[in-house]
Amino acid sequence: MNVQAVLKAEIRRVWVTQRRYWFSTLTNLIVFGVVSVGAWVALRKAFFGGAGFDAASAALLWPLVLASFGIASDELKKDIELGTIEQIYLSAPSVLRLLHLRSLVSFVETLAFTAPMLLIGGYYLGWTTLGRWMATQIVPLWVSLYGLGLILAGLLLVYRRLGTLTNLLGMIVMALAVVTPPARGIWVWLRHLFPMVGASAMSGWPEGWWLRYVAAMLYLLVGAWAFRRLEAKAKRLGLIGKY
Amino acid sequence: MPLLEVEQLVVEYPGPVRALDGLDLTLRRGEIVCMLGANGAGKTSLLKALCGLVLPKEGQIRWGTPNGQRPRLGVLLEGSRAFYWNLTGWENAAYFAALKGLPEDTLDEHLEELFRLVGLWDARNRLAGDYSSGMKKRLSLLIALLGEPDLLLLDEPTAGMDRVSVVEFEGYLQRIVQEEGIGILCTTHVLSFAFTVASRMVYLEKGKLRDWEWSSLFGRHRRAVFLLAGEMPEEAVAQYQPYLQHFGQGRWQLEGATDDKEVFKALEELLAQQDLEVLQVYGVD
Repeated sequence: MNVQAVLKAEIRRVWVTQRRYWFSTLTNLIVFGVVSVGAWVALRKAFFGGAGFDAASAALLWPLVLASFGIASDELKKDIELGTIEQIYLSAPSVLRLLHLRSLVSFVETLAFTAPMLLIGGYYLGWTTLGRWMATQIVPLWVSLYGLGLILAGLLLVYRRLGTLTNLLGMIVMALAVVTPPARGIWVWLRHLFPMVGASAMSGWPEGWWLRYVAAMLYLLVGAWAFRRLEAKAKRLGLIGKY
Repeated sequence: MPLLEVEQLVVEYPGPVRALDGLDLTLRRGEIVCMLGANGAGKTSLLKALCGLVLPKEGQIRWGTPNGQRPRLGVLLEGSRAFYWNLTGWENAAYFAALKGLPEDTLDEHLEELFRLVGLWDARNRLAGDYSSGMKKRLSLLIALLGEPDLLLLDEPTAGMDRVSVVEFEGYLQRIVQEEGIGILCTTHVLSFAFTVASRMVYLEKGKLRDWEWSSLFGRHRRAVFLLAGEMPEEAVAQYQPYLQHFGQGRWQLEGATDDKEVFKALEELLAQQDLEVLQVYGVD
């Protein structure tokens, strides 16, 4: 697979679709902004008692959490519903690699959608804080949740009716992302093995934060392995083209 | 060396349902093999197994390529949607060309050639979702043809096409087989199409290749009628006289009982040796 050409084609496909349906894109952007601001204010009052950093990050976090976890299964679900899944399997030498690229495009797309919120966040919280948060929390969170999402995508190939479960699981991972694990004793290190948990913490460089990248890669590898196994099962059962 | 060699292929679905039950088949370059058979006979399962959408339970698929790898395949599957409705025909083709790894520098030329070939050049910038069903079929075919495949796998390629398009399409298949030396494996229920393009026809029943049993093709029909066009030499007229009727202007009718193998032997010989064309095929009681 020519990665560069496929990446360009994916970006073009997303861009053309967003531009063609510009009104829908615009309204999505507005709804997104309003919901994010609302979530920020509500979270701040309800849970964080005015702790601006955590509330802000929680509000910025939700689209990223949902997109990273859901991208693989959402993309497959769309192709299954549209009926293009067989064509994808016939055209792409590796659907898994295509999903990796789609995830990358989706990450950039989600960042573009959250850009207004990120800009406001950066302005109020400080650009250093925001950058550090992206590096220590968001990137490993994205990779690890994408890895877990691959398992769900593989399951979707075999069990088509799991579609609605993805929404429920999305809510659960969203809740986990704002849970703050204790930063004492063994938890100081152990919590890094779950990069998808407690990602709303914005303060400082947590000790052993690089472990989150190692853990994230492990989740990605496990997700890819599970996806391949489930994909093979779907092919054995003749389920790839079933709608 | 055949381009494709299938040996004792078994495909089983949950149930269990044996879609293919020890099927053997070969296909050479420059050959168009048409697969006939009732619904559920295993035709589409064979195509899906060949393109990797279904993993066979047993048996072997061997490719006659230098490295034994699967050749470049162009696949058109009936019932699946081969493109995104919210993209134009051109955008779809360019997207799938990228997935197939086609070189970008010659892509525009290649796409133009294909769009003209399938008769969608003027509609290339329209949304694929707005195409008529015939145009959608052509776009699916265009996507299958991307990248000059070595082997085309076509599932009911003429379904939904009007007669003019079918004739053009038949001509195209014959041309690419002659010029490019590719192989084509194709399922169809349209006998006139099969007779026009096929170098060889095979009949599938319950996941296996059967002998050429015409009676099973026509089901309950007792007689088969073939309308033929072309020059018929006098000796052929004399030889097949019991079955032939001349309509004038190079039109002939060949008719016989579906369990009379002589009729079909006559037909095969006429088509192979006299360059006659089958215009229509139907069964009568």
